[in-house]
Parts: sequence; C-alpha cells; structure tokens
Amino acid sequence: MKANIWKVATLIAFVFLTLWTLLPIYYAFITAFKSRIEITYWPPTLIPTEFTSHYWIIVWFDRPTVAYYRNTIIAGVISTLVALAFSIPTAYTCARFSFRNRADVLFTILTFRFLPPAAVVLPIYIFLRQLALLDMPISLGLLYGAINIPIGVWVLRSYIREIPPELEESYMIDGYSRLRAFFNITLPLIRPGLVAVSLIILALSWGEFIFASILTTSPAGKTLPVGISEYMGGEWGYEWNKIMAVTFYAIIPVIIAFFIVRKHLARGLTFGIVR
Amino acid sequence: MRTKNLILITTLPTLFYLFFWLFYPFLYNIFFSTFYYRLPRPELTRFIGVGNYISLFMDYDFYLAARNTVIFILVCLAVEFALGLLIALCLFREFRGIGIFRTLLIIPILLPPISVAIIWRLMIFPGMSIIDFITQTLLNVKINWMAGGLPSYIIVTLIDAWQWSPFIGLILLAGMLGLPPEPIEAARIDGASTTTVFFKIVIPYLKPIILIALILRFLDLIKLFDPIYAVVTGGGSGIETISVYIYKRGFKVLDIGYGATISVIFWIAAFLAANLIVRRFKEYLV
Repeated sequence: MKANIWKVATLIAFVFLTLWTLLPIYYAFITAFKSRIEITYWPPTLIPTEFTSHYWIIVWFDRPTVAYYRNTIIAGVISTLVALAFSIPTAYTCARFSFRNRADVLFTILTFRFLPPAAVVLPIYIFLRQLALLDMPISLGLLYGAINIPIGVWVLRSYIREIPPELEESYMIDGYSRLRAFFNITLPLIRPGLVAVSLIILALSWGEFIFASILTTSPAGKTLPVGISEYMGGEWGYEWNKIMAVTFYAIIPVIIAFFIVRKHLARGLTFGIVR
Repeated sequence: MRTKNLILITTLPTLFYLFFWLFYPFLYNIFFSTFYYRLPRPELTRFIGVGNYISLFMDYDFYLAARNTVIFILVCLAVEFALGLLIALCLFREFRGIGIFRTLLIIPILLPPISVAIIWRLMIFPGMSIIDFITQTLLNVKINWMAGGLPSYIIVTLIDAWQWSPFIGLILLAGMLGLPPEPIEAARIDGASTTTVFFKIVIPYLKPIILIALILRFLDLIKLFDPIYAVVTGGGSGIETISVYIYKRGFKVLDIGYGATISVIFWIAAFLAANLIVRRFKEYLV
C-alpha cells in the first residue's frame, strides 16, 4: 500500500516535471507554425489548425537575421579561442605546480566570473566608442573571452589534474621539452574535456545579452539575443509566429551543443568542482 | 628558476587580461562617478565630487532596486532548490529510459536566457496567451503578468526557476549518484525507514554539494537581468534589480555619471560577496 503511494507520487512528479520543462518549448515551437490570424485565437490553440512554414522563411528576409547570425558566430568563436588561449596555460601550471600564490591566483580568477556585467559595461561602452570599436562582433568576442576565462581555467585544471604527471615526465626524460610533452601527451588525453569546455563557452557567449545589447547599436552589428529582444517591441510586438521562428533559430545550435556536452555539463558549469 | 618563469608567463597575461576588461572599468567608474556627465549634453560635464553619491544615498529607486535584488535572490534560491531537489530525486531512480529524462529535464540550462524569457513572454502575454487563458477561465481572474507588482515578481521567479532548477537538480543528482551504497544498506539492515535514511545519511553526505549548488546560483542571481528586462519591456515597472536600474539610468537616460556611481557600489558589493564566498572552495584546490 505504502509502496503504491510512493509509485503514484513519483509518477505525478515525473509527469509534472516533464510538462513543466517541455510545454513552454513545445508551445513556442508550434506558435512559429501558426498563421497571422491563428496567433490571436481565443482560446489559444495547442495544435495549429493549419501549419504554415511561411514565417520560418520570411524572418530571414524582413530583418537582418543573417547579420545577427554572422555576428553571433564571430563573437562566439573569437571568445572561445581567446578564453582557451589564456586559460590552457594557466590551467596547466596551476594543475602541475604548487606555488606560493596559487590559491590567490585561482580565487581571483574565479571571483571575476561573478562580477555583474552591468557594473562594468558603462566604461567599456565609452572606451569602445572612443576607439570606434562599438558595433563590432570582434570587440564582443574579446570581451566574452575575458568573461569565460574563469570557466576555462578551473574546468581545464580539473581535467589536467587527472592526467598523471609521470606520463609527461617519462616523455621529457626522452629529451623532449615540457611544451612538447604537453602537446603530445596531456592535450590529447584531455580532449573530451577541452571539447566540452569549448562548447560550453561557445553556448554562453552565444546567449549573452546585456553586453551585446549595449555595445551594439546598428541593426547589422547586433547578435541574435539582441535581435530577438528587439522583436518584443514595436510593430513586431504581436507577431509571435515570427518571434518564435527567430527564437528557435537562436536556440537550435545551443540544443545541439547541449546534447554533445551533456556528460560534461555538471562539471563544466561548476568550475570542475562537481564530477 | 625556470619553473618560476613558466608560472609567471602562464598566469600574468591571464590576470592582466581579466583586469583589463573587468577591473579597469571599475577604476574608470570611480572616475566617472565624481562628474556630472550626461551623454547627450557633454558640454555640461563638470566635477561634482561626492555629489552623485549623496544623490544615490537619497535615491528611493536605488533602494527599491537593492531590495528587489535581495528578494529575487532569496525567493529564486528557495524555489529553485525545492524544484531542483524534486528533479534530482526523480532522476535518481533507475529504470529503462531514465537516460532520456536525465537529458530532457535539464535542457533549459544552456539556452540563451533572453530567449527563455521571450518564450515565457509568449506564455503570459495579456489577451493572447495560454497562461492568461488558464487564469481567466479556471480561476476567473484577469491577471496582467507584465504590469509590475506581485504578478510580475512571480513570473520572473518562474522564468528563472524554469531555467535554473534543472541546474541545481543536475548538481544534486551528480552528488546522489556518487553516494557510497554501504552506509545506506547498513542503515536499511538496521531497520531505518526511507525518511530516516534520507535525512540522517543522504542529506548530511550531500551537504557540501548542496552548498556549492546554492552558492553558484546565489552569485549568478546577484546579476539577474534578462527575465526582468523581457517582462518589463512594454509593461509595468517596479521590479527592477540593480542591474536593470544601471541599464535604465546609464543607457536609457544616458546619465553616465550617476550610472557609474551605482556601478561602483554594485561592483564592490559583488566582488566582496564573490571573493569571500569563493574562498570557501579551498578544499577543492588541492
């Protein structure tokens, strides 16, 4: 009897959690297929009476969606490369050597992860404006690179630590430099972690909003999150089918990345602390 | 000596780069905060010393934003922990196909927060949305979720909980999957009930991991912005956090001097909170 109650409770919890998670995504998805008239239906329809793919196509043409995509990709890729370029060496030495200020270095780096964008964006705006670097996805990429360094350093350090240093040392006894040992021995061994960290950084840069919305001004300079946020106001305010089509174009790459990094997600988002 | 050089060339550039983007702006904000400086009227710029800080001290909207930030942190943490624990407990079960759920239920985590907020905006939009329909027909009340006040607080909390409860669930699940089976089995043999095992063995064992989940959420909630921005745009106000308030004063009103003043206070508060808390992770350093 008691076991049955538990079974029913678990079932209810499962149904609730699945609906809670998937219903908004489902509803957003089918809204993008609704016609201009159907989005105003009362009650709102849960299954469109007729499916139209019209809006999935038209959003590529009546707003600079292509430019949004291009800018988001540029900013994301640059940020990932920059973050990795800075954090791989730091992660390596912090994993392999214990030196006097190591804890301070690591904690300072981690603290920077939690600084609110709003608290630093004003001077960055003024600074980039003076250098005529506003509106450039490259500037955004360099900035996102800095923001994601803490993730890179902490997570990669946790992966590097799992590789026994003896592997490198025996390789170095053969006369190779530490650099060669790192590239030929350690780097291939941490490749799964490296891929996961890169994709997580890419996804986080992809969705960043507050910096992007302030540091870009012209339609051709904006990223996807800023682009979709602009559909909220103005003449597009009620055109939910278009808004949701664009939103899904912004989401789908992230979902693909999510499935690839699924196994490393907990570790990647907790700075390597939770395995 | 060579090791020392290696350490210097691998850490200093990283620290320098971080300082450049995230500390140098703080110094610049201190500088700006001593000026009356509005972007549309640069000719009126003048040094006013602590003038902005005195205004801030008497600014009702600033206190409101600070209060809202604290409220959102506390309420979101509570809701997300409860839901996250439920998610973890469900996903901890073993049956065929659990892997699908362990992936599906945590999909929200990596999604761009602004797109999540916009999807919820679709769900609550007055007069044409599914949640509005449900409350109107089932509860027979007309709630404008975007007009500010309690409904907007609730919806912002729900948006944040939708995206981040799975994050807490994911961390707790990782902890539960790592539980050593022996003490639980031993307690079972001694006749302990499920509840006793849960509260006396599982929870104490998970304490550090629960703490990590809550700390990471807490530090992220300090900068809460996207869901509020999405709910407030074209709607009411009064639910702004500090981040949203800086955005409004700095970039809608273009009052750089005052925006910088709020930023200075906010930067110091966030830095101190993060640095003090993060140092608790010492045990994970070795």
